[in-house]
Amino acid sequence: MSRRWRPGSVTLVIGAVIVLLSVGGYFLLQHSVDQQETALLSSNTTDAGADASSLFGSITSGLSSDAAVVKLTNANPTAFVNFVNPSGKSTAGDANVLVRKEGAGYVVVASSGSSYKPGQILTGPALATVRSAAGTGVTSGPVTSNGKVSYARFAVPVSGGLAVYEEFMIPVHLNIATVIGNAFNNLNVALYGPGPPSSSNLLIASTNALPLAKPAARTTVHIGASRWTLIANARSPYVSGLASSGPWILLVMGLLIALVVMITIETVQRRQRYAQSLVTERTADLNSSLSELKETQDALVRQERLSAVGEMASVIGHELRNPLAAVTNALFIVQGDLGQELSPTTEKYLSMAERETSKAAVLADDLTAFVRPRELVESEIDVPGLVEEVLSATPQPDDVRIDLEVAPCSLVGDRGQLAEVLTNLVTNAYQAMPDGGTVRLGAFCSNGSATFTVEDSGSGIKDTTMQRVFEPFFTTKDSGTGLGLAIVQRLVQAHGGQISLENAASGGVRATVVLPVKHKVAG
Amino acid sequence: MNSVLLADVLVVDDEEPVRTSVAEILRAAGYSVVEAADGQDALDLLESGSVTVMLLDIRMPRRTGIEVLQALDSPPNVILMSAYRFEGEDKRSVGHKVFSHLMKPVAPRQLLDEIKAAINREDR
Repeated sequence: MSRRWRPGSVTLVIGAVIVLLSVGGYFLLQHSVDQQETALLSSNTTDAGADASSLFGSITSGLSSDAAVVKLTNANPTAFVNFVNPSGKSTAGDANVLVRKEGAGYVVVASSGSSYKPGQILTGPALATVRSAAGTGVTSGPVTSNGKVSYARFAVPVSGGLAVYEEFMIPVHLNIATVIGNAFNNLNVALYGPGPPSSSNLLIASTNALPLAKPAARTTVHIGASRWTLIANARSPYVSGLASSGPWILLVMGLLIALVVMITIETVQRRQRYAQSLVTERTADLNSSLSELKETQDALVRQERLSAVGEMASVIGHELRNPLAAVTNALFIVQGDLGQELSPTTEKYLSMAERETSKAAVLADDLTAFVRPRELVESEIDVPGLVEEVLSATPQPDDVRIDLEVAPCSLVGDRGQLAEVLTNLVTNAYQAMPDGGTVRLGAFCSNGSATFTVEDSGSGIKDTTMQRVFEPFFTTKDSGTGLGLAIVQRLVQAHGGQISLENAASGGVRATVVLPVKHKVAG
Repeated sequence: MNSVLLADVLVVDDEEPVRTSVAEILRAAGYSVVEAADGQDALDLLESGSVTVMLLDIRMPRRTGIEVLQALDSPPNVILMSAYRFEGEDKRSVGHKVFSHLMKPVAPRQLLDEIKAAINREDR
């Protein structure tokens, strides 16, 4: 049989409270860790933005120097080229260009690098950059990217419709440390040009995983008059180790504690219940022992009383016999003396004296029979014969019918005593039916026992009476010594048998006598 | 033993009312009767002569009925008439010396029948 673990309500409530507390603690702690993480990321991102701003800000200040040289040399192209590219080497994608406004557009005056030639008319992002600078001063133009390389553009206006334009190309996934320095090794950074960040205005990024996963922080980088955007997230959480595991540790510990507490409470409660049931059981045992003891004591007291009563009964039974004998004789003598001619009164009272003397004699018989130890004179008894003998010796009242069901079998016992037993039971049955009825008398042998049943169709016996029927001197009859069933029980017990009385389903009383058959060994 | 016949019946009983009433009934029936108040009296009487039938109580002072029977090698026809049963050891030791046993109170007519039977037995 499997015992299912069905926790009690107290256990469940306490368990639930601890689980709720640990889950709440988990969220609180997690929130605080997140906040800390966000704050650290945000502050580092701001620092990265400041670095980027100073790096690219140096470009704008370089442009301002270019503009001053242009002014001083009256826009001498050779002087410009020599100034911006003293080495004369040109790098692909990098260009410093002096332009002049002509009509609505701008024409290249001088250029370092091979991207622009003097006389070339500016178009596209370069034109847009120069135009935007014409209105606001030093500024950056659109940043464009093809995913591998990107172009950054800057311009500064010089008086007289002149402007210096600079563009350079950098690989998008340039080692970030070479660009912004290594102060932000823990950051994944993406730097976008003016406008909303997108893959088309991405300048550089330290990772391929774009856009950057959240949580990410962003900061604005001021380049001259324009605004770039720097977005960063942490390569590994700033709040690391034990601190970041804190919420989980709290949650797991909380759940474990809940489990341990629940198991402990349950175990304690179970032990308590077990102890309680043990106490209840032991108490019941004790009570039953006590009641058994009481019964035994009662039985002893009853036995004691019975033996005292029995002794007295025996003495009375015997002592009554001599006076009874004398009275019987005296009556006989008086009757003889009076002769045949008696007055009705004399006759009436003489017979009353005789009748009552006989009754007293029966009482004396019962009293002595009850206590007398009787020897068993055993013989093989034919059961149907015994029943027949009893019925013929106990005349049945006119209005009583007898229903016989007797199986042919035999047992060993004292014939006289067993006849006395059956006679007594049959007489009781007759007396239980003053208005007539049926006596069902059954006898059969099986499994080494002979069973006799005598059932009347009377009105039965009350339970309280039933408990006392075998008690000596207990009677419900008007004239009776109350010894009949007590004697019957003794005789049956002397044969090693048992007798019981019960109210039958029919309403009457059924007496059942079970005797061992004890067949004598032949020989 | 003396061969002088003292009476038909010797009534031995320490209960005087029983003894005298029984004797009265027997005399009225025509028997000659002698009485003894206990076992010792009975033995003394039987020293002086014989009776046909002895009606003998069992429990008596001085000598009990059983002791009387034990003392007599060839007692008369004995009818035990007692308030006690005659059984067990008593019956085993002196049962063969007893003609019959009657429990008190005995109906006088039954008593007369038994006396008659005992006397008839003697006649045979």
